[in-house]
Amino acid sequence: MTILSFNKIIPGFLLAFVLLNFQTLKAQENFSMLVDPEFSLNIDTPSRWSYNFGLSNRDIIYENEAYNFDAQHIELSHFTSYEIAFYSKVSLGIKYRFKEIFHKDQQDEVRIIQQFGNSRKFNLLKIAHRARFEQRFSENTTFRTRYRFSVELPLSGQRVDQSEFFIVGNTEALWSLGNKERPSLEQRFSIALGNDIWTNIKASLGLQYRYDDYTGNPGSELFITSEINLSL
Amino acid sequence: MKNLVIFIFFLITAVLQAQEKKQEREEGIERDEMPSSALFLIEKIPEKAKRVRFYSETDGENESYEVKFNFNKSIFSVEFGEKGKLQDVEVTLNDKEVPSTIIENIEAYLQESHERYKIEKIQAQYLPLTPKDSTGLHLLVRSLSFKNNAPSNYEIIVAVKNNGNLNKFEMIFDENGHFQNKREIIRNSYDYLIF
Repeated sequence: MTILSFNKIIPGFLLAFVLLNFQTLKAQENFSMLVDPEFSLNIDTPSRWSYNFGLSNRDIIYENEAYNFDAQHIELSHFTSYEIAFYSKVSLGIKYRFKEIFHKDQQDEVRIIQQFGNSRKFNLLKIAHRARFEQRFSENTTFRTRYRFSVELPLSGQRVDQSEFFIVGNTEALWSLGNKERPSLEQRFSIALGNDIWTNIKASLGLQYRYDDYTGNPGSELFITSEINLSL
Repeated sequence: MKNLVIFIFFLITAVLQAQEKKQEREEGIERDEMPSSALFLIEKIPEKAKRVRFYSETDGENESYEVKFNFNKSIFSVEFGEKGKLQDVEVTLNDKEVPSTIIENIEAYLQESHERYKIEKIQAQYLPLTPKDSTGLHLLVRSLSFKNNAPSNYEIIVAVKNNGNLNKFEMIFDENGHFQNKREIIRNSYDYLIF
């Protein structure tokens, strides 16, 4: 099998994934669908420090077995990172979610995040590990530990050149606990098709499936994710 | 509003500046897209070779071609110039496949000139230096039994730390493991994968 045939297989696989799963997912109770577009800016300095800024929005488009548009929040985020080794970074981040403007009964949320990231290229594949501790402050305070494993595969050749496509798949395990809630486990699976539009701009469109509280009261969510990422 | 316009202007300028660099492109191709003069040698790749793949690469001016395959648990890369002229054969080695005196010389250089280092990849490079190598076949045969034939050079990819800065280099060492030259490689940012 030559590398070219990946081009034919993967979009086909993506389409099959969407078509097969969508109907079965919709039939489940406790299922919702959301859109989550994001714009992010990465600033890499010649030193070992780097900065990341993000702006995103989340809206429910399907819930309680009916299509319905319901804006959830607008989120601002910032991370400052320091390279601690050849392939590893530690980061400290803050996120602010504006929720109250959409739902009067909800409070805005502040999140403090400590992160460890490790990423490296092995021949064709880029492999990234990410571990996070989060403190979420809103009506309740929640603590969350999460780990994500990501793989990126170029769809033409051995690396992603300008205007070439790539595919990113990842899975993330999350463990949440708080003083007013039962600890819960969640697993997420994502797949996205990306393109290096320009040398420093990447765009991606993907799906993320979240299976939450699977040891208690399971629910599932399907996110349609899109991202524009600018690196300076 | 005025600030936003200025911000967007700077953003666009930064993007356009990056555009001015020469556009490098590398992609997977089919066997019949390789230059015809390279096919003679491609046919000589052992039948036991696995994952035979073809690539073309351009830096905006010059075009080159590459055949990659796995043979005897090693990755081989045969590179051709624009008209299918053989440039070199590279074999990816693990530490143990490099004779100990040579790896000691390479590491002695790295230790001497850098605070810390991590070798990511070692390749034995076979160059067509003698008239015998000009057809390429002799060179290919030599590289296939790389354990018995010393290469022209060793090419390594190494991440180094100096004065607190982290950099990545491609370095060439001669057949005895003595440093020849180096070229800095841009370290990719993988931030979009970890945020």
